[in-house]
Amino acid sequence: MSLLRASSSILRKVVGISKVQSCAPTLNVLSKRFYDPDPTPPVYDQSLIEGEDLICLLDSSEILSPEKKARLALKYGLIPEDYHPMNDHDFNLGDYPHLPAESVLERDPHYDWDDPFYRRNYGEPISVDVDLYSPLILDTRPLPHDPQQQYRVLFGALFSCFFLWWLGGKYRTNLPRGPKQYPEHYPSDEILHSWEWDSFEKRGLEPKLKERTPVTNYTLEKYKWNPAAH
Amino acid sequence: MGWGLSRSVRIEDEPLGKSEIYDKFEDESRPVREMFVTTEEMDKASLLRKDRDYCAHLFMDIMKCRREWFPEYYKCRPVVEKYQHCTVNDIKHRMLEYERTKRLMAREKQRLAIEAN
Repeated sequence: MSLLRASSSILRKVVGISKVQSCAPTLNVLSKRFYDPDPTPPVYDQSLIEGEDLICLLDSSEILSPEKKARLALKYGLIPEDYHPMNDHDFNLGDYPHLPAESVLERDPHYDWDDPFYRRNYGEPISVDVDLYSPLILDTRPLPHDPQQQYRVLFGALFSCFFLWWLGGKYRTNLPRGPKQYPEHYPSDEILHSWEWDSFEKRGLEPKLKERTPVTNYTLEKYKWNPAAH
Repeated sequence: MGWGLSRSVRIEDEPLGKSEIYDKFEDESRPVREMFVTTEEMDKASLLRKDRDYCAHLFMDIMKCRREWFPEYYKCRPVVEKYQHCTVNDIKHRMLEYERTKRLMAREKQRLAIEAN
């Protein structure tokens, strides 16, 4: 009995369950569900942005003075030369800076970023299209070849294939043939391309198109061809 | 090689695309081309229009063989070769018909020219 009790306690320790069910992970097993591998630094989760630090609307009629521009650039962590407000650019986003549309993948992967996945440092200005240019969505890196040259090569190859097809249709290498002979005549044969374009229901339900007439064709052979001899 | 280049370019002497001329020069004294299956048998086999030609019996043999030997289609290779033999002979027959009609057209043209003079 004591052996059973000891084994059950060992099993409980290994599996990590107890008689009292709880959502929180036990000490024995570190659940991945509650484990944050990239925790927020303690200073940042207590930060509160309010007042002038929030995005403010700008009056587009007045020209930005250098002092105000420097102040707004400092607010977003930029130098004044790089700061261009999005006030009337695409839609009114106030004094939020207009940042270049470059993907995260363009950044240096070997640099020691604070956030290695998004390749971003804390306190860095973030584009409004940050979700669009995230590493899994858009890749704005330059292509290995010139796209126009790629299109030229692609359409050149395609049109040369079509040209060869047309050439082979124009200059046949086989002997010319007569029409194919069939032992029966369908009324729908007189309609051009009726086999391809007419539906089966239409052809099958019309009694006029159902009437078939036998056709006699004649051979050119002096002696009949015996298929069993071959 | 060179068949297409050595061909005549006078299209009015060629029966290309003129199906009425074949009916005009039809000779009924020739032996009748034999069909090995009837229309009812082809209907029962539900053959498509393009397969209801003079090789339909071999096509039906292929279908039967494939149904019997599925999925071992390589067993039907001799039957398929027979069918190919038949289709190639059909193409040869069409070429001969073309050449015959072309020569008859030339002969008729010559005759009409003599009669006019």
